[in-house]
This record gives sequence, C-alpha cells and structure tokens, in this order.
Amino acid sequence: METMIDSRMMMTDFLTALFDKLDVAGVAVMSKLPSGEKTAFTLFTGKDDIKECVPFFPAMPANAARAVSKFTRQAVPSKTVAVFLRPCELRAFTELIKIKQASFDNLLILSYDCSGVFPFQEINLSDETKLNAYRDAVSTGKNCEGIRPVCAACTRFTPQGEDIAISFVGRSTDQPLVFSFPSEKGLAAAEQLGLDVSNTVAASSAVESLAQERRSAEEELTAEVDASLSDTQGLVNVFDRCVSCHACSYVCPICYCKNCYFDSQTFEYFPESYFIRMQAKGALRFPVDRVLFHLGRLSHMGVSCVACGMCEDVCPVNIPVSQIFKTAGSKAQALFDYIPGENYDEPLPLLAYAEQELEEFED
Amino acid sequence: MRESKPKIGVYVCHCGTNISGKVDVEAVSEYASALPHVAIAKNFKFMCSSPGQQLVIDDIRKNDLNRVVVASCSPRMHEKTFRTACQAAGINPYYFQMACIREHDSWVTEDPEAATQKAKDLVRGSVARVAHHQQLTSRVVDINPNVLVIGGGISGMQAALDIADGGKKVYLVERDPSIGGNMSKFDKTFPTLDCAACISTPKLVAVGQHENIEMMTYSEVADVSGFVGNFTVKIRKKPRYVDADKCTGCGVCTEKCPSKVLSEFDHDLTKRKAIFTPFPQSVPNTPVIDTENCLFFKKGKCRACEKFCEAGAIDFEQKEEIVEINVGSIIIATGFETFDPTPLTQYGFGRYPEVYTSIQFERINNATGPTSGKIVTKDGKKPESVAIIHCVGSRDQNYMKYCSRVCCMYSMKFAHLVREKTGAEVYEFYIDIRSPGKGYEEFYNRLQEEGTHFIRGKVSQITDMVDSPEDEGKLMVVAEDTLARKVRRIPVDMVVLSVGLKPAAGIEDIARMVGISVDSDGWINELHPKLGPLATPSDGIFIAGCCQGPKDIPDSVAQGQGAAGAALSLISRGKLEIEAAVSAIDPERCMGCRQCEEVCVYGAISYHPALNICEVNEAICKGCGNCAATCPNKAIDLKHFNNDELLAEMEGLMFGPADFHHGTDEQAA
Ligand SMILES: Cc1cc2nc3c(=O)[nH]c(=O)nc-3n(C[C@H](O)[C@H](O)[C@H](O)COP(=O)(O)OP(=O)(O)OC[C@H]3O[C@@H](n4cnc5c(N)ncnc54)[C@H](O)[C@@H]3O)c2cc1C
Ligand code: SF4
Ligand code: SF4
Ligand code: SF4
Ligand code: SF4
Ligand code: SF4
Repeated sequence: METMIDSRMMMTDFLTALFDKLDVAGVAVMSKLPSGEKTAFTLFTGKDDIKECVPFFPAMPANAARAVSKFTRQAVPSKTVAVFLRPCELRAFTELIKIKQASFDNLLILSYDCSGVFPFQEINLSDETKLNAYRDAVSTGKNCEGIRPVCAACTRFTPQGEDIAISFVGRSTDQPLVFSFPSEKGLAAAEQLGLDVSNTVAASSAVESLAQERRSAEEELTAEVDASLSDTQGLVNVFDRCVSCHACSYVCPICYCKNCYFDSQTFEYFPESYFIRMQAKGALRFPVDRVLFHLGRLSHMGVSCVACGMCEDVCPVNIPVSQIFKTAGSKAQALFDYIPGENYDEPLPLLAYAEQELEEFED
Repeated sequence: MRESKPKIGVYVCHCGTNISGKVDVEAVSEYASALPHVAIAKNFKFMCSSPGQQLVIDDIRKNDLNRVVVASCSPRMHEKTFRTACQAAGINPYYFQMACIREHDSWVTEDPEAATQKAKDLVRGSVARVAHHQQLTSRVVDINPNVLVIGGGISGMQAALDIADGGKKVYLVERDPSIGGNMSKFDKTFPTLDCAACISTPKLVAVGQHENIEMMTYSEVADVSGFVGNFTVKIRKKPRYVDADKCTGCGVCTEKCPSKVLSEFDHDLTKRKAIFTPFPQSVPNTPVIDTENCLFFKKGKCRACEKFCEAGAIDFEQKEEIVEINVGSIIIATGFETFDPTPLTQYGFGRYPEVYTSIQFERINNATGPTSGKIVTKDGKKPESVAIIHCVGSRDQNYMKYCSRVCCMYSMKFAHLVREKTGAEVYEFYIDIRSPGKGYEEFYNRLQEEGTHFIRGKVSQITDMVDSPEDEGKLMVVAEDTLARKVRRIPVDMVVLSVGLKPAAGIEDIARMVGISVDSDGWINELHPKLGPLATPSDGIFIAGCCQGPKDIPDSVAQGQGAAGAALSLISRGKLEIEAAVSAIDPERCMGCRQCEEVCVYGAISYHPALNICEVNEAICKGCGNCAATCPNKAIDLKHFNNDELLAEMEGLMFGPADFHHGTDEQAA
C-alpha cells in the first residue's frame, strides 16, 4: 500500500491548484446542474465554476469512462486533463483502452475508495437526510441504506490504475483530503502541487470492515441471482417484462458498438419468419428476441462487465440487469482467469490464444 | 433483404445408389416442390454428369429460375460444378446452394425413413437460405511469374530446375552452406545401387549454373506476406564472412584454419574446420565461417584464413542481410532429419563406439566420408559381422508412430554393401519388411540369396557383456526371434541403427508464415491425401518431398516435378480470379477496435489509422469468418455467409414452412 499523506487541502483548493500549479487543460468531474437537483459529469476548462463541482456526490448520471473515451478515443489531448473516475468507471476505462476506444495519455486519473451511489432517480442535491446518512456511512465504513444493490455488493471499491488516490472511507468529509500516489505521474503531480509528502496518515480500519460487509452482500446477491436464473424458465421470467428499449446497452460503458447489432436490420425479419416461428411455438410475444438480446449482450460484454450498475439504473421496468451481469460476468471471467479493468495490458480472453483452455468443456 | 423475388429449382441427386439406396429421393423432390418459392423440383440419377448439369441449365433458361438448390454430395466435391452450370445458364453462380444429403445423411444414417426426413430438413434449410443469396462477382489480379523454392534437397532442386527450364525465374533458398540435402551424404542408392553422387552432383551443378535460378544458400525465410500470385518474402542471408564474388573456391583457408570441430555433414564422425564447405562437391563452393568456433570471433586473434587467401575474399565485416523478393508461388521442400537414438539407451548409441546411425553409416560408405568408403571399425579393423536394426524410433508409440518407409530398403542396401566390401555376416533385425516399389521386392529377394540373415524380432538390448571369451571386444545383440520363438544373442563387430525420419527442425515456422498446418507428427498437411497431395490449403503454396512425410528419392523427385508443374500452371495463367465469398468491413459501423485484426490468422486485415477503421484485403481473405464472429459491432459481413443467409438457413432447418404466409411479391422484391 502506498503511503498516504494529509494534503492540508480542501477539495476546492485542490481543484484550483490543478489549474494553477499543474496547468491542466481541464478537469472532468461531476458537477451540479443549473436546473437544480441533479448532477452531470462535466469537463471544466477553467477554475471559475469550480464551486459547482461535487466530485463525490453519490449518483452516477453516466459512467464517466464513456465520456472520457469520447475525448481520448481518436486523438490524445495535447495537454494534461485531470479526470475523476469512480473505481468501476476506471475499470470500464481500462477495458475501453484494450479495445482502442480510449487512451490514458495526457490524463491525470484521480480516483478514490468508493462508498457507492444511490439509484440516479432516487437522489437529489437537496436530499439532506439521505446525504447525511451517507456521510455517516462513509466515515464509519458501512453500506449506507438505499445505495444500489450492486454498489452494496461491490468488493472492488478501491481503485486500480489511478495516478492519485483519495482516501475517504473512515474519514470525515469536511477534513482536508488524504492522498496517495500509486503512479509516477501521480508522484510528479504531487511534487508540482508542492505537497509535503512527509505528512503521512495511517490507513483507516474502516476500509476493511466495509470490505467485509460488501463480501457478504456479494455472496447473498450471487446466491439470489443464481437461484432466479437456475434454468431457462428463470431466464425468461427475469427478462419477460423487458420492453426492448435497449437503454441498458446505450449506457453501458463497454458496449461500445456504433450501431448495436440488435438494432440492426438482421432483426427486422422477413414477415413470413414471424409466422414460421409462431407456428413452431404456438404463440409469439412481441417485441421478439428479448431474451436473445440479453444473451447476446452477455456473450459480447460479460467478460468485460465491470459491474458499474448503469444498466440497472436506467431500466424503466426495474429488471436487475446489473446484478445479473455482475453475477454471470464474474463466472465467465473466472473461466478465463480474467479480471476486467485490472490491467490494460491484459488481452481480452477471446483474443488471447491459449493452447490449452476450457478442457472441462471438451467432449 | 432479398435481391429479387426468388424462383427456385431444386434437384435431388440419386448418386447412383449412394443416396437413393437410403433416401427416398422421389419423396424429397416432391416435398421440395411444395416449399415456398420453389418453382421446380426434380430428382436425377447423377446430377454432376453432363445431362444432370444440362437439366439445370435448361430449366433455368426455360422457366426463368433465379435460384438453384442441388441436394447431393458435399460442396467440396461439386459446388464448383453447379456454380459453373448456373453461370452458363446466365444466373449469378452464387445464386446456388448445395444440400449435402450424402456425406451428412445417406452414408451415415441407418434408418431409411430417418434419412429421408433428414434429407427433407436439409433441403428445406437450403431453400430458405438460397432465397437470401446475393449476387457476388470475383475479382481478377495479376500473378507474379517468379517462384520461391524453400529447401535445396533433391526434391527442391528438381522443382527449381523444372521451373527454370520452363523459362521462369526461381529463387532457391537453402539454409545450409550448400544445396544437396540428405542425398548428397549417400554413397549408393537403393534398389538399383547406382552411385548417389553420379546422379545428384550433376543436378547440384545444373542448379548452380542455371541462368533462371537465383540460389540463396546459408539463408532462411524470415517472413512471408501477401497472397497467391503476389507473395512478398523476406529472406535472411546469414553472413558467410567470405565474399562469394572474390572467392575462387581454392580451399586454402580451410586448410590453414587451426580450429577443428565435429562435422555436421559427417554426423560427428570427422572434424571440420571453422571455415569450411560441408563436402567437396558443395554448391556453391564458397566456404562459410562458423563464428562459434572461429578463433578470431571467439578470441579476437587468428585471421589465418585472411592471411592466406590470395583472392582477398575473407571479409570479417559482413553483416546479416534481409533481402526482399516478390513471387507468385512458393514450393516448400524442407525435407527431413534423422531421429537421434540417444534416448533409446538399450541400443547403446553414444556409449559403444561401434554403434552407428544409418546416416553415419552412409558417410562411412561414402568415398568422401571418414574412412574414404571403407567399412572398418573405429580401430581400423574389417568387421566379421554386422547387425542392422530396423525401425529405430519408427513404429514406436513413444517416438514416431509411423513407418519411415525408407529404412527397410536402405538397411538392405547396407547389407549388400557390407557383404560386397567386407564379406562379413550381416544380421537384419526387422519387424516386417516393407518393400513396396518398383524393383524393391526383387531387391529383397536378391539380398536373401546373397546370404544376409533376416531375423524377425525387436532387439531388446545391445551390450558389451559377451558370453564367451573369444567374443571379447564384440557387441552382443539380444533379440527375440519371433519366427524361431527363441531369444538370440549374436556377437557382432558393428551395429547400424536404422533410425526413422522426422520433419526438419523449424518446419512449424515455415508453415505458420505461409498459413498452413502440420500434422500431429509435424509433417506438412497436404490439401487432400489423394486429390491434392502437392497442394496446401493456402493457394499458391505447394509442397514436395519429405516435408510432407517420409519417402524415397524417386517419390521425392516425382513430387518436385509435380510441384513445379503445379506452380508453372498457376503462374502461366498470368491472371487469377479471387474467391468472392470473402469478408468486407462496413466503414460506417467499424469502431477501429482492431479485434478482427487480432483474430485473422491469414493477416488479411489491416488498420487504417487516418480513418480509424479496419479493412480487409480481399485477395488474402480466405472467408473463414473468424473476424465476422469476433466483431461485436457486426461491422463485418462475410459474403455468402452473412447473417441473413445463416439465420434463414437455421430457421429453415428448425421449422417447417409457415402454412399461410409466403410473403407477397412486393415484399420479396
Ligand atoms: C540413411 C538414409 C538412406 C537413404 N537411402 C535412400 C536410397 O538409397 N534411395 C532412396 O530412394 N532414398 C533413400 N533415402 C531417402 C532420401 O534421403 C529422401 O527420399 C530424400 O533425401 C528426400 O529429399 P528431400 O529433398 O525431400 O529432403 P532433404 O534431402 O532432406 O532436403 C531438404 C533440404 O531442405 C533444407 N531445409 C530444411 N529446412 C529448411 C528451411 N527452413 N529453410 C531452408 N532450407 C531448409 C535442408 O537443409 C535440405 O538441404 C534414405 C534416407 C536415409 C535417412
Ligand atoms: S459499483 Fe458502485 S460502489 Fe462499486 S465502484 Fe461503482 S459506484 Fe462505487
Ligand atoms: S433497459 Fe431494461 S427494458 Fe430496456 S432493454 Fe434493458 S432490460 Fe430491457
Ligand atoms: S453490463 Fe451493466 S453493470 Fe456491466 S458494465 Fe455494462 S452497464 Fe455496467
Ligand atoms: S472488430 Fe469490428 S469494430 Fe473492431 S476494428 Fe474490426 S470491424 Fe471494426
Ligand atoms: S474471413 Fe476475416 S478472419 Fe477469415 S480470413 Fe477473411 S478477413 Fe481474415
């Protein structure tokens, strides 16, 4: 574990310093929307509106990896941009790098141990009671009541691959920020920011107690999903209220396709097909191919699913999409010994050729 | 989407009784006639015959058919035949689909009723699919008339000479300092016992002098890219440290070199110098410096060769060179190497000085070998008895499961030579004698008449623990004589191990570079064991000689000539039609993630940085579909196997036709 230091800086000082001392081209961070109650991931190019930033507001209006991919995909920013990513967003970003949809060149990545977020619909800037409960949960290292089920069961809530890590869990949010610098880039930034690295701070035991709580929540969640999907009928039961809006794939950070296959002409069948199928099955429910869509998305994205919860957040009919993807995904990942978002050098399992693999499925 | 309203003709083939013996062809064609869009359905004795093809052509013309399904054998047999027929009748050849009701059905189904049902299902799938077929046109590219031959053994030399005589340019790449291969180590060749040098040396010289052959010895293929008709090959020329243009081949350098090491060409029976040519008749006769043993390279001192070379040909500054050549076709003739019997400790190879491998024994028999052709033991004595042990490493579950084909014959050749040169008793220990070939069985009979002892049985041990004092110094060969049913212990002065053949080291690298495969024993896989023995699944890549499997010189030469013929026939066409069923990437959908590039084993996909998309080189693409299956965007369309076609076929296979919705003409259009 990297040494943690007390920066003696509050968040606004830090953001200002990013512009003043690091001369960043911009800071990408969550901020308040002018309309009042909600937040959005925003790219600031100057420090004037910094007071609008709420980096740790417990909502995920979009998986930020998707946003950062947009401005790094085809060309690298010519000057450093500082980006705040939650651990799951950083994992998604790492997956996007592997499929050449993002680059971390000239980015300064800031991340933190994450206490989870509320469903987007259920948290507003003015929800003082909820936010106070959340602050308490952060400082004591507990799951706050009301956060999304995948967050409550997220065991990878400390970041991997960031340049600067901010430590929250077990600390009070109105104290100066506690940093560590896991990368060379991060260390160089610390120096430029003029931080005194001798002000070390001890790690908080709350991190481990939160981890424990999360592990048991994860076990429960897995068992629940396993039970509900134990057979084909289970699959149908879970997905049969799906309205085929495909919103889950639109917000998924790693569903990067320009035109989703399931929105393509292939699924606009020739009229007689409907009758052929109907005749074979006795009935045909519309829209067709709902389970197929989810199986398709699982097979395309299951090994890379970083369990960020976005899909579930947007589902208009409350299908536990993310809980299913997290559970099924980790099984697929385990088959290939693959951990999504851990290391951008690691090839995707389907692209890695291994002379011997999956032998348990032979014959 | 369909391109036009389908009007389908279905033809069910009897294939003599191959299909009609199991499948009720009448019932299948009748069933087909009621399927959606089917205008005509017939059955016929032999669809592939001229009248069969004519039937299709006439029906297309008379009835304006625009799609054809033939239910018969595998598309590998006759897809081309029927595509051509469709084309002759004026419809696009890709408006054709074949249902395989022989290999996939009549040949493998017991119950006639089930076979008939399966034939109906397969036909239904094909009918559903063909309605979605799209017109495709193939492209034509120029063929580069030059040929590359890899390996300068007898088969490679023969191929090079035939092509060069045909007036085309050949590059002959050989990794040893001289061409010649294994044959140049032999003295006599079975079964005629003609002198190996007398028949191979003129070939070496002819190759060296041919104006159409550019020899690249001491060189290896580093990279192959491109496709049939247009290969770009990088050749790594190792430095000889001798300027071939200046060197006169006088050999003074070799004479003066003070550093001696075991000779590879003599298989460790003699020593050579650090600057050397492998054998006196080497082509080219320019020596090479082996830097591992050259005193100057090792210690920085010596340069004796340089001092004595009057031509001033020694050049210690030479560097490895990469030369790029362009060819239209490649022949692989990398041959074999012999099995090393050291792991078979019961034979005592490496432990007893008088145990030799067969290839060493060839050298002993050779006039330029360690004993100038005399058969004598290491201490110079004429042997009184010699044992020859067959199948060493071959037909052995632990080493090479296969029969190496030439060992029985060369073992008998040795027996003859030993008897002729020394009069010694010869004992051949064999499992079976395999002598198929013209004059081979006769050679075996001759050997038996000459008094060679043939003992059927596997040798269990060779030991220097002799039974009686007068045999002291001899080796005991212990074997169970399976015909006499007793254990024999025979004292001999020399033992020859007839070691098997295995693929030349590095064959997998060559195979990988040209996109072909090797079998579980490491030999190159030919395209078809009977119908394509010299071709490979990679167009324009041919094989000859022992790289495909053990064989004798007549077969190797025949294959060399055959491969030359195949290459000449390809390049003489000048132009080449390229298969139209290849992949294409939709630039509008591609996100440039480059996963397709990663999975294309043929290297057909390249990334276009400016557009941030990938592109398929149609001439290289084999239509394998790896990329199409990988692309999550489904930006890749594998023509003739696109999603519409495959889904339609699957749906056709799984479900019967809809009873009351066949689609209207407008929808179909
Ligand atoms: C002991 C023994 C005795 C035999 N006696 C007889 C006989 O009497 N009569 C008979 O008909 N047959 C005989 N044979 C069989 C005969 O040797 C073969 O049929 C013949 O040599 C095959 O020729 P080839 O050109 O295919 O291979 P090779 O002779 O092996 O030639 C292959 C050439 O390719 C070169 N090469 C290999 N890899 C590469 C590479 N990667 N790049 C460039 N060059 C490469 C090698 O250096 C070699 O020069 C005998 C075999 C053995 C082992
Ligand atoms: S899943 Fe939830 S808890 Fe885990 S890192 Fe993402 S937002 Fe935080
Ligand atoms: S968001 Fe929900 S309703 Fe929409 S496609 Fe996904 S699972 Fe179905
Ligand atoms: S599938 Fe759902 S949980 Fe998984 S990465 Fe995509 S949006 Fe996040
Ligand atoms: S896999 Fe698909 S999206 Fe990715 S580069 Fe290839 S064609 Fe483009
Ligand atoms: S189909 Fe795709 S993967 Fe296969 S050879 Fe063609 S480009 Fe390569």
